[in-house]
Amino acid sequence: MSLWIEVLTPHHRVLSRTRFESSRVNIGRGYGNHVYVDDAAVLPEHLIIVREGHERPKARAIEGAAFRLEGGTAAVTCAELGPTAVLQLGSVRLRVRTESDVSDAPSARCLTGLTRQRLSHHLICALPLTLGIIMTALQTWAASWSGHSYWRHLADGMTLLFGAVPWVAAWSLVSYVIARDACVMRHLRIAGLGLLGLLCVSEGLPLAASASGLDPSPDIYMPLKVLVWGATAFAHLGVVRAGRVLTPAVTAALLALAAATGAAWYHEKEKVELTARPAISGLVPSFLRLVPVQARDRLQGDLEGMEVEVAEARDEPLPDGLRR
Amino acid sequence: MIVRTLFSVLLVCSCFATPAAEPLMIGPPGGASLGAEIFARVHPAVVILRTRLAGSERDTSSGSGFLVAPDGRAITNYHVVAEYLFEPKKFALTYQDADGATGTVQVVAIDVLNDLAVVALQNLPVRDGRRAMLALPDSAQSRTPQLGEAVFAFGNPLDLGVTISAGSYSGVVPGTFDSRIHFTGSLNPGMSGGPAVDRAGRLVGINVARAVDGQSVSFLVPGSRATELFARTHDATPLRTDELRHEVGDQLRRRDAYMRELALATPWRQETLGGFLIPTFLDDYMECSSGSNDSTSSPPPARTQTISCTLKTSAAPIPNTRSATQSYRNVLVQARSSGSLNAFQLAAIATPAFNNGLGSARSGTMARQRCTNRYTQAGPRNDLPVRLVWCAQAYRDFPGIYDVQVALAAHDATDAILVSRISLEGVTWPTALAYTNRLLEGTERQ
Repeated sequence: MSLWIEVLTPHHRVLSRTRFESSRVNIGRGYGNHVYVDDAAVLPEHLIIVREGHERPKARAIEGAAFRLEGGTAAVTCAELGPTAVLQLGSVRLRVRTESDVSDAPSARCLTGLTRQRLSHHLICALPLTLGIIMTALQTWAASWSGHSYWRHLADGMTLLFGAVPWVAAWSLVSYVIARDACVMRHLRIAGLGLLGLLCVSEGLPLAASASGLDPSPDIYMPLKVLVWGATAFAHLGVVRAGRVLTPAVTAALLALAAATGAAWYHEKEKVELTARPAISGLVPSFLRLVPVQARDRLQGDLEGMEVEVAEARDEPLPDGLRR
Repeated sequence: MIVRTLFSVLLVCSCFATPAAEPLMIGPPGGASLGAEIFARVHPAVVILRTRLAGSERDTSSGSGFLVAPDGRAITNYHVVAEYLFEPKKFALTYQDADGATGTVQVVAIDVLNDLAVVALQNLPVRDGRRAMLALPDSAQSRTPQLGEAVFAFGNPLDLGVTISAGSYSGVVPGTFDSRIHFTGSLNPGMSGGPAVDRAGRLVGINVARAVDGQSVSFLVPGSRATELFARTHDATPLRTDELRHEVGDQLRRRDAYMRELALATPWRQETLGGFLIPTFLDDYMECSSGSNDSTSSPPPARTQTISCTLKTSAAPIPNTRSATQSYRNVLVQARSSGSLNAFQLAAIATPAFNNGLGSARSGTMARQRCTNRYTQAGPRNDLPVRLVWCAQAYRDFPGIYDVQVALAAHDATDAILVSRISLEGVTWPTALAYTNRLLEGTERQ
């Protein structure tokens, strides 16, 4: 006696099909379920599929939860599932099949559907952090004065884990305490994306600036970094609260974050205002150059025209800290 | 490298009993020891100049000067009075003569390039109806001392009081725009602006600087320069500080025009650095050095060769900040062996030479710096792609005067990167463009 759980697209294309040799299948957002549904609208333990004998399977919502049947108008807590019935859990559509409904059951030689689903999901969640480690190693390799091979620098990149693991663990602990769901993979994915964002700002942007012949004002880097940090922390908070209503605590945290971002930006702006030291990006290999080479006579014309701009700076008001 | 001292002492020429309207000439020494004799004669004409915080009795710096006219006009260094000149509300200038009398000081004329100033000592007392002065040399009949001839410098070293420092005349420093006399004697902070005289008590020069990395290698401004400046002042009427700052700007523009003309009239030369030809600038006036990180015991992954040049002399238009000098530096970074470094690593190694110190901060005297970053062509045939960063910063007090920094990197090859940097302080825009053009035209692959 088997059950097949199919994950469908909105157009009912089968994304995955998992076979269960059991009469009871738990579905939810928590990792203890047979079917893991990665959707903020789904509770950690949301639904049970039960099949007794050769009867049609039934869906029962766990206490406090509900689901919809596609085509239905109201949320229900219990329903018998026909061969074409489609369950809607948040944005996810599921169809429950029995032996009589399917003729192409998956091969027993393959990994079980649950294992495959989880493995692929874990890999996807770990991908950003993995990319971050690879990029960090690439960056240290490219900037290395020692001439060592890339693989030697990869070990340096792995040291990021010393920071990433406690970071993810801390957020997971907070998630577990507040929402009874550690959401490890989600926090891992967010942390990885945050790392990638920071690398893009601190390493990618100067590289792009140098390759394109543009040197953005130095005061752009700090706000961008703060923004990435803020977005990362916000995403973690969102996971902790499972994307639900903004409680006063979360609202206060977000307001504090916004205030801190603004303060950091203002502080940086003040500092730049005092120093006004232009940022000159470093050298990059010439094959990375994105802009065409400018003719020398045109450069001459541009430099001649630049005098007005430089002379006008004399009339700019002087910050208090620099007054004579 | 020549670095100006910030403080100086003054030295005086001496003399007794001369009617207030007539300068007292010093005669040949005799009798007592030579140093004691000269000190006795010159010391009365030397004054100590102090810069104080307005309303305070505390000095911020001190220098020296010497009386040259009966109406209280004295000669000193420009850098002794510059602090007051740029911040007249914050600072006050005072003097102390050989008898301990004190009073205020007004600036009458300045010569930034020769680092000289004529000041008027207010309410200078007259002793016994006479005023000790040191005669300025007549430029038409001035005598050039012989090499090795004894010279005595007077001043107030480290605010210890007026002292005498013996040394010798070692000729004029070659390759300087503003001629400097090499004095092989000791000059110390506080002696700036003091007189240096020969054994007959005749003014040879004015103390101005010492070489910080040398021992008893000091420099004097020729006395004839003081004569020329003094001749431009008709009386002791002081100028307003804003007029004087305007005059500083004018002198910087004249200096710039002179140097640009000289630079353009001088045949440009190229020298070899690795596989590149690089231009040189004002060869005869530059002090150059070269270096390499090559080491046989622990060879670095990239070999770096450097050529650095700086003008031998410079002006100091603004106290404690810019020196209106010019310098350039070429750095060649090469992988030790083919393929030992990738293009990214080579670029990373060359980057500090390219952009370290390129951005300059805004200050009370300088406006915000603007930079432009371009990829352009270098070489006489425009066949060498280069990255060029061009930064300019205006002087707040001197319209039309800028500090310009240029950085050029030729990094089209995978095995070597050439970085050239030019730093021009206190120049006009056309001068900066002329140097930039020369840099671009003169940089090519060999």
